[in-house]
Amino acid sequence: MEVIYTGLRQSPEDIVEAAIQEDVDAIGLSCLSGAHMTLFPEVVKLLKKRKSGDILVAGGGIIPEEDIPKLKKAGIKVVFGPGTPLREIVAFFETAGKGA
Amino acid sequence: MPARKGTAARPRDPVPGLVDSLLKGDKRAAGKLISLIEDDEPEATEALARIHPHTGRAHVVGFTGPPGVGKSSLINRLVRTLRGRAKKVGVVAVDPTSPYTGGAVLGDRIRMADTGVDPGVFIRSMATRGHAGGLALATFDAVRVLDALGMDLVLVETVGAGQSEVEIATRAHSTVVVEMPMTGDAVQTMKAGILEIGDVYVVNKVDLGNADVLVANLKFQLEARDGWTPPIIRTAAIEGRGIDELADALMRHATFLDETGLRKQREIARARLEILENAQRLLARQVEAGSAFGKDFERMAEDVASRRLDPNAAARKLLPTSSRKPL
Amino acid sequence: MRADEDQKALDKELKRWEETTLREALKSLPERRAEFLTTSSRPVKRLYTPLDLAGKTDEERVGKPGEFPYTRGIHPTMYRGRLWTMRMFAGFGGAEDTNRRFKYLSSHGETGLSVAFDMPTLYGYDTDAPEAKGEFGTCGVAVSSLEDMKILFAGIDLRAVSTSMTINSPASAIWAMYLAAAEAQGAPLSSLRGTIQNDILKEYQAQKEWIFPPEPSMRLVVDTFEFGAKEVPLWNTISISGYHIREAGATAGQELAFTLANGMEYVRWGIDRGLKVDDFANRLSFFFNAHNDLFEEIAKYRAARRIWAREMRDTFGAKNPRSWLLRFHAQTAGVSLTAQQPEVNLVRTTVQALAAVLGGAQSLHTNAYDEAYQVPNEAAARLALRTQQILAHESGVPNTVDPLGGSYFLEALTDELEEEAYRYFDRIQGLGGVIPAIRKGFFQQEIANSAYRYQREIEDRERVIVGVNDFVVDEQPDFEVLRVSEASLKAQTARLSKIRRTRDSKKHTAALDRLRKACESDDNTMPFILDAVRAKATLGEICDVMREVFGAYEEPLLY
Ligand code: B12
Ligand SMILES: Nc1nc2c(ncn2[C@@H]2O[C@H](COP(=O)(O)OP(=O)(O)O)[C@@H](O)[C@H]2O)c(=O)[nH]1
Ligand SMILES: [Mg+2]
Repeated sequence: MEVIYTGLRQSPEDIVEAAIQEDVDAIGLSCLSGAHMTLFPEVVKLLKKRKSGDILVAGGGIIPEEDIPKLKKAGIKVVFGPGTPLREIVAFFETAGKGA
Repeated sequence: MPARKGTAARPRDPVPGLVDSLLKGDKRAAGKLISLIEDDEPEATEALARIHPHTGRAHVVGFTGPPGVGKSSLINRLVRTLRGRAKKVGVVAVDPTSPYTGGAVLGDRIRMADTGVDPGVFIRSMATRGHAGGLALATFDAVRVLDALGMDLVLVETVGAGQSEVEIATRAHSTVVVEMPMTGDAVQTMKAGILEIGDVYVVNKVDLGNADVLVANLKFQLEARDGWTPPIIRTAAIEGRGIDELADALMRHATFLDETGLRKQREIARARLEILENAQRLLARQVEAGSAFGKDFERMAEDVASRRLDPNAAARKLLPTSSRKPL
Repeated sequence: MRADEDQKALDKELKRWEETTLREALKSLPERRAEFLTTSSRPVKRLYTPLDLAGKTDEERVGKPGEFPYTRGIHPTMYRGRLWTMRMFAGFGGAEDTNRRFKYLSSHGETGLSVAFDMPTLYGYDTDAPEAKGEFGTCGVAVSSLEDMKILFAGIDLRAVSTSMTINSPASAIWAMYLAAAEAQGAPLSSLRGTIQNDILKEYQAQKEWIFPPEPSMRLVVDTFEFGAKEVPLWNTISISGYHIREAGATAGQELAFTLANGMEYVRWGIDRGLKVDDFANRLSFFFNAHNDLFEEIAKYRAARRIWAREMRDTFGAKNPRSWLLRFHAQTAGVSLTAQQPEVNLVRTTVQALAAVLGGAQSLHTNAYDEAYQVPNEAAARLALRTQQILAHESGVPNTVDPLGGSYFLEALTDELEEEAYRYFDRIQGLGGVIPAIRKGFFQQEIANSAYRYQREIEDRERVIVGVNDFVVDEQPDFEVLRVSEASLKAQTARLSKIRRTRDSKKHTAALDRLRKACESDDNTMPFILDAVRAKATLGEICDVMREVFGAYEEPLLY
């Protein structure tokens, strides 16, 4: 697995542009600040605008349980909240990689 | 933190469509084509064949120098400067694949975050994936894609180790060797061969002091080749100092190559290399696909190990019959 | 000679015990594990005795409270005279929301204020900047203008409270807003008490909230030292923070060493500016973590006081004993609090807060049990405050000064931590000092290595974390989710646009121009920032001027 690390404090535009140029299979977004309801859907929206809606978007961070269904509806494939065991996350990306 | 790559089973787009989009300047298509090449997919050959006629416009600049010397930082600044001069710029940045995990964390992009969303810029990270020289096999095919995308310049960052510096010099139009002054009492030693390959030398991190010794040292040792004396540029990438001078030097070198006909010569030299390389690759594939590969191969390995057969003779047995003559 | 003979006798006695009583005991009940480790993976021996304290006299090592080297505390009477300040880190939404929270906490017995700012404010952006999108008030209070600051403290007498503000890169601008708001209340600057965090070095090492490169950032910090010494003499112009270093995964020893190394770097910069060490050293304050391992934490605070006193007196030549004192705020370890079984966090926090009190903290924040989910809701914040009140009024711990002083284990641990710190000081110096070591990624790498080791210990279950890798239950916690209201955001943006519309634009532009010139020159920037604030320049506008002059910082990469 290869991971492109884009650094901290990236705007949705930066992230989408990097994803397209790097032709990634998936984007992992981490947000602990509470801005996930704005920033995560924005990434999906921009991807669609760039005809790249097929790129999988996953998210995690300090995300209240009640926000997860809304995020999924906005096109975030999976959301991992506080306390998720690491192996659960690894397992997800491994199966996602195989197109499951 | 986008993750990637290799195992994906995303539906693949047909090559002709991708190449058409590429030629219209579609970045998504460029990204996908580079992946095909990088993953060594069967479609890559067709894609490259279709792209080839549309390449040859971009001026390719290779950057080499030890890890941490500031190559990514310089490229970031240089991209901005070149954009200011209305040039479209592609970047291919190579990072080492971990020999332990077979994966890689590609970090050059962080240094280039400033320029990421500019429509006239395309940055692609690549992992070495075990290629001994350190330069990703696919790097120069990726350069071709960016050339066809319409980039005026393509900058290639090598990992700066192993054979990569020599390799880059044989592929790029201009090679930039980046060094930095040593701090403290350490004695500055130049890596062997480094003085022969650069068209432009950069002494980066001049903000840290001690640059004069290195510059003098370089000046003393560098010689003109084919009528070109490599300039030595002082930079502080971190502050953006010296970047204009670097851009000027590269433009001067490009003009020099055109005016002396050296560009054509370099292109032909590169073509030779590439033909040979492709031949090697094709042969290797044939051998692998050939019937002798497998059980026979194992038997031969045992024969060689127990000195019943020599490796060269064994290899000849693997080749297609027409090419089995000893060389 | 005499001491030598005592040692020998003790040694003999210990051997006897090991060969008889202990050996018997181990036969019938072997120990639970081969090696016992602290939270920081430091091995702990079975038993500590006076033999572990050989080498230094009690007076050198421990002394008396209120006297050099202050191991036992900075005051002769400690909490018998005055309890620590109960200071709860608070902030969310707009200034009105947080003002209400301050009043709520004060009404429940909080004794000092502590402001948490939201992300845009921490990075020097106004609420209406594109960079601020989605971030308003979620992590703290948004303060973009003097107007916001006035509302934040409306109805709170700034002569009477002490206020701590967790703000770093834009610290001088936020401080200027506070000073101007106090001025507007009629409070003279000389009466104001409080602290700005203003500790930029640990940003590059751990928290990553930098804006500018290290050198201009350090210059801004020293500007506040100089200005504060003259104009706001009771104000702590810095809170040198190990907290963030520890939360990023450092060990107790690293927290101690890096924080004090940073502290000494600030002192050097102050002296290089031409300030006399005794003119500013007494306004330097510290901020440490209170983690799980009770004794290791207490030892850390005691070692910190001793090292600081010695370095200030002997290395920097401070003459005034007040300059030797290491005064510190403590916060319990947020990173130790779990999403699983969140109520259990109350218990963890209690043990951690106990460490801070036994270690002689001057003020304390206790985390709320919903730490892993959100900034605390009202009820959770009150419970956290109650934890401190129980320690203060029910536990009996504050009744005597340094109750654990003289414990063989604690004193040995204190010595060990001190030695570890000096080893780090040498390594940092070997790298050319703090800032070169930052540029080389030294601190970042050391912290990352420790964080990785700790995480491995948990994943491999070498270390038990209740509710995470043992004693697990399957239940979804359920509590009231704190939300920032849309109305607060509207009010805030409306206020900002009104300020931009109605202010005297000539005055405003002129003030920012003067600030730019000051930034480009060697002048102290503080008076110019204060003028800009008075001319209604916003936080973002002030920081933009600085961004233009000082440029941005790029961090070294680690793999
Ligand atoms: C450590 C910490 C810090 C340290 C960070 C040190 C460092 N460099 O790492 C310090 C002390 C510097 C810090 C500072 C601040 N913090 Co803090 N911090 C924490 C703390 C205690 C732990 C975070 C952590 O590292 N957890 C460990 C990691 C592994 O867990 P995680 O990030 O939750 O990730 C898990 C999942 O969420 C998921 N996941 C996360 N991201 C992703 C991404 C993908 C792709 C996937 C698949 C999964 C995934 O998988 C992980 C494994 O389970 C949390 C509270 C807590 N106990 O969780 C507060 C917390 C995150 N901080 C908070 C705040 C407010 C701040 C500050 C803004 C305070 C202020 N006003 O000054 C500053 C801002 C700093 C900054 N500029 O970013 C709040 C956020 C509140 C909110 N969103 O509502 C929290 C929740 C504390 C609280 N209750 O108030 N903090
Ligand atoms: N002081 C100084 N540091 C620099 C300069 N250029 C780059 N750096 C730093 O050197 C480190 C390595 O830079 P990077 O561009 O990643 O190097 P690369 O490995 O050659 O690509 C980073 O921490 C940069 O911030 C410079 O001109 N001066
Ligand atoms: Mg690089």
